[in-house]
Amino acid sequence: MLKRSSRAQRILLPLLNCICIVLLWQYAVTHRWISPLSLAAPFDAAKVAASSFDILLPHILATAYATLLTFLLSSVCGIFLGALLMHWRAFRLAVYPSLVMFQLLPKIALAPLFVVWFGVNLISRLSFAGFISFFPIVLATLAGLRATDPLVLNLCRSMRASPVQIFWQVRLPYAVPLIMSGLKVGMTLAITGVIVSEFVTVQSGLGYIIVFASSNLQIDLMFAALGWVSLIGLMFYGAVLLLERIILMRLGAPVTGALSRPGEAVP
Amino acid sequence: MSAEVSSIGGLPASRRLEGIMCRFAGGATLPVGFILISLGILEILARTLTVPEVLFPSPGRVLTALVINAPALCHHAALTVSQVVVALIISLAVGVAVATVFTLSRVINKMFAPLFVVLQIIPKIALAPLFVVWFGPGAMSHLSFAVCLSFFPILAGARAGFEETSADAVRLCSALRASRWQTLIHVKLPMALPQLFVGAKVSTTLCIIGVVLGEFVSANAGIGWYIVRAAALSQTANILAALVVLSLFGLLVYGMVAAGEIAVRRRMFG
Repeated sequence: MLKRSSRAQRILLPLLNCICIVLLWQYAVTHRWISPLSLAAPFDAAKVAASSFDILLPHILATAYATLLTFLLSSVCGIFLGALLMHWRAFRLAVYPSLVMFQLLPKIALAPLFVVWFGVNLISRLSFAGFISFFPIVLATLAGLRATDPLVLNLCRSMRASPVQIFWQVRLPYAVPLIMSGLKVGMTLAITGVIVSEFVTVQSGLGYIIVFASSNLQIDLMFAALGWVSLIGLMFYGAVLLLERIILMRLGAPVTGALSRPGEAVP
Repeated sequence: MSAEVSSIGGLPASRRLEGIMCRFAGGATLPVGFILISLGILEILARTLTVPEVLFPSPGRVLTALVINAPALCHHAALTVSQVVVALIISLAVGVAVATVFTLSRVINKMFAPLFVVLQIIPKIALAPLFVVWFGPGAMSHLSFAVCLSFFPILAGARAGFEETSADAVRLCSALRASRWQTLIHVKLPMALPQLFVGAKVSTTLCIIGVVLGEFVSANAGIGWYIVRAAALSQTANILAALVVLSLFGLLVYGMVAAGEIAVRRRMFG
């Protein structure tokens, strides 16, 4: 009984809280406590989102498509490079410090340069977002592949497992939790990169709608676009989370709780 | 102190220092060589292929741009970095305060924690133009935007730290009739410091991103503004020079946070 009530509390309290906040927000804007020029009322924004859905739809699809493509590109490249770095010691020693440094640099500042290089098009957005989301995936993959239990490795070698067998059957499964946490960070950075490059290229996508709406002071349209960005972000993040659960369950590993970690915060 | 250091391993301090230098040099040859060789290849490529300088300035040109524009670059970078530092301090204070409220009150934790987890996952970078609408084009909008980005990792780090406090220590505190507040200050906060620093390091980079992006959207000074202006004038070498300066300053701030972490670790764990 106690357990059930606490579970109901865990779902009901935040939900009730959300509803209260939204209602208060709506009330505050409609009664002019807050100027509608600085905050759109949530229901008005929802109305705009519904009424201009046919205008927004191509931009929603453009952002989602670019994010997904970026994520696939950078995760394939990142995992491949991570594996390469693990097996090739000299290369790792030479490149690893540069990779860590690049991870720390404010790469967002390069956004205008990618426009100069690739022009105002999808290629420039993809390459910029890929460039942003690639580094955490490489570093996480490398860390995961190197974290294999040395006892297990010794056992495999003494049973004459080939390096290929060791990689696929031991190292990779052991690395899954770290690789997945790298992929989560990579996914969040992919959508960040896509939106920033849409700010800069101003051609299509929800980033473009946001810049356009803010320069026209159409705050309700802007909030509608922000809502869609959040929805896309949550959906993609949830998809990676689901993938992680499925893979971990198939490997028979314990699934840890969902306490959010600092590194997974989305800028 | 020096006698203590020199006695470790039975080697005189100078010999030890030499050994460390040697090992460091051995470890640094490959990475530094890699960077130098890559820069050399870029330089040769830029000279032989005669690519237009707008597309691909050679490293030498970037260095020249860096030297010529050094005073202006340093001026703008100092402006940006001072905002980064202020934003980092504000988000540290706010993040730790919110995490404290979460640990002290179970009801508030249940009500707001899921909300913050969702907010953490939303791409907040899309809010940049909104902050200009709210605070106007100036330092205030960059600061608040940077705090909005960098606050979440610190909150997550502090919460993780508070939650990982050993149950035994907390039970001991309650057995000794320590109040919740005393437990927090004397036990939970020190034990949360390592996790808090993990969050602070993530947030340092986010602070830089926030301020620079804020300057992209609207500003009349700062390194982000400098980059956008250089891009509009197609001065690619200047963009890269600005990026080098920004990276150096960014690494400096990051290094300071990392040094703080090491100092705290030393004091806490010997």
